Amino acid sequence: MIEPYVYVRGVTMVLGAWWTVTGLRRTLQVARAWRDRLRFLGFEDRWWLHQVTRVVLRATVLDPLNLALLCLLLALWSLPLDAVAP
Amino acid sequence: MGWLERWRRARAEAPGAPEGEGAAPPPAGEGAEPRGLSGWVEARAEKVVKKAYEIHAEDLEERARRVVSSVYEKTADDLEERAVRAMRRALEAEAGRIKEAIEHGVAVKRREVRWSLLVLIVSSLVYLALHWLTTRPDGP
Repeated sequence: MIEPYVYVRGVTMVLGAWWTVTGLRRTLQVARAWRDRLRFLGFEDRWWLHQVTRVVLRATVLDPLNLALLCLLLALWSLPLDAVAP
Repeated sequence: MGWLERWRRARAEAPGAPEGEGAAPPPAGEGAEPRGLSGWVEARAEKVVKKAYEIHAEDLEERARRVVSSVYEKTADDLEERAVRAMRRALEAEAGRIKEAIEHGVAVKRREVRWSLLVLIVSSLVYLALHWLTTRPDGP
């Protein structure tokens, strides 16, 4: 029998991972569409990938507050349940 | 025709001519009727101007061409410079607008990520509290 908290935490983690993957996929789709629209400017594919990576990192881990929240969330998720209620 | 007759004719054709001059000099035209002193002066002046123009026409044309060409070159350079400056300003303004749009997009995404993380943290804390409440050992 799985505990409710473990179940909820698992579902939350799966949802977080799913949202992250879909967000990255959507970001790549938007970047690809813009690359096709601005193809006449002659930017290289590597340059586009570099810019997308920069934007994604700036919106997540390169922002100090977001990085702190992310670390806090990971700490909460990795907290052993025995430490809360033995 | 005597000299007196000629003088009278010339005087009749050119009333402003001085009296003691005698007969007016014949016009410079080829065999044309004499028109008096003013006519002769006019014809003479026309001839002189025509001759002077013919002598200096090429030089004048060359100078005019040079002046026009110089003015055109100066104007063309100035226009080109102005066009380049205007285009550079427009490009800089457009690049600035694109940069602002990208920065705005990044800021919006950052805020979205922050709110998502906050929601996840709060829900995790709530779940943790519920777990602690449901599994805590009974007190004394």
